[in-house]
Amino acid sequence: MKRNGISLIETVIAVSASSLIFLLTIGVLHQTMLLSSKAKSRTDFHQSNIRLAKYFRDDVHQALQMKLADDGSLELTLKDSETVTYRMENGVGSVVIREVKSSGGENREQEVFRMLDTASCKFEIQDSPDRVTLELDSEIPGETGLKRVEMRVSATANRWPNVTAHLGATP
Amino acid sequence: MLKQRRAYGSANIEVLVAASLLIAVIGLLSSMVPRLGNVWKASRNNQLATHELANQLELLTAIPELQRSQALENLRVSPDLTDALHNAVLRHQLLDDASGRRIVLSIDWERTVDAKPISMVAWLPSQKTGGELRQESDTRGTP
Repeated sequence: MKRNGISLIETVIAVSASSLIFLLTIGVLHQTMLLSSKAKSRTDFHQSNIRLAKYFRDDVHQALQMKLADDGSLELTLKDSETVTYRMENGVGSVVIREVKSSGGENREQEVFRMLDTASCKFEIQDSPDRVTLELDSEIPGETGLKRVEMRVSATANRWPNVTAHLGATP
Repeated sequence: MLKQRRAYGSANIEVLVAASLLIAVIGLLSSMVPRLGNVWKASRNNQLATHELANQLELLTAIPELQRSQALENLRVSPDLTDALHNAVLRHQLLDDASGRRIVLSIDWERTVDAKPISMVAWLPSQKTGGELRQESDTRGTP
């Protein structure tokens, strides 16, 4: 006699197998979404780094004077007593702020560069020739207290007058 | 006339094939996670290496001629980067030909896959040398 329908044990096995596959799929989906979000944040950070490096080099090349403040910020004095300040702020997220002020102290420009939450930024002034190094560090994920270098940019101050002197008279 | 019976539900073999396919896809996706991590690490290291070359060239082009030859002899990768760029080697070429007087700096380090070293060029102020000048050097990153 042919048996019709399915037994309880078959149903239980089928439901268990389906649940297991469903859970695995959800897990993979969750991981994929997490990775996608991390990748996006990394890309943003990477682009922000490149933008910061470009601004930093351009500003230092034009700087006539450089000064490190007690709070770790860097102040560059350009032509016409214009000042450019780089400082790091750790609030909701970490950001590096670039502020341009005119000789009168009026804010002319402000740029914000988003960093990784665990990022820290330090400036170092060296001489012969006068140059500044910007170093961005971040905490290694999963290893509290251990830092790794994310970016290290070094630029020579007052660079353009040297270049124009080598090139000769420029129009 | 014989009436054909239609099968309802799914056979064991169908369930088995579907489950195998799903597991294969999950396995494939899972294996991509460490690969993605490696790609990110490689991209970060490439950026660090590019900045290092730019930093070195920035200094080399800013110092006077005499100091430059000394600096080229003592070329070293910044100590801060030796953790990220294992056994990094900096090589330089000082060229003076029709394209101008220039320094070609390249950096290579231990990587999991074979990849070409990263190079960067900086032009120097022209100097009458009376012919083609070519110097090459190879210096290890670790002191």
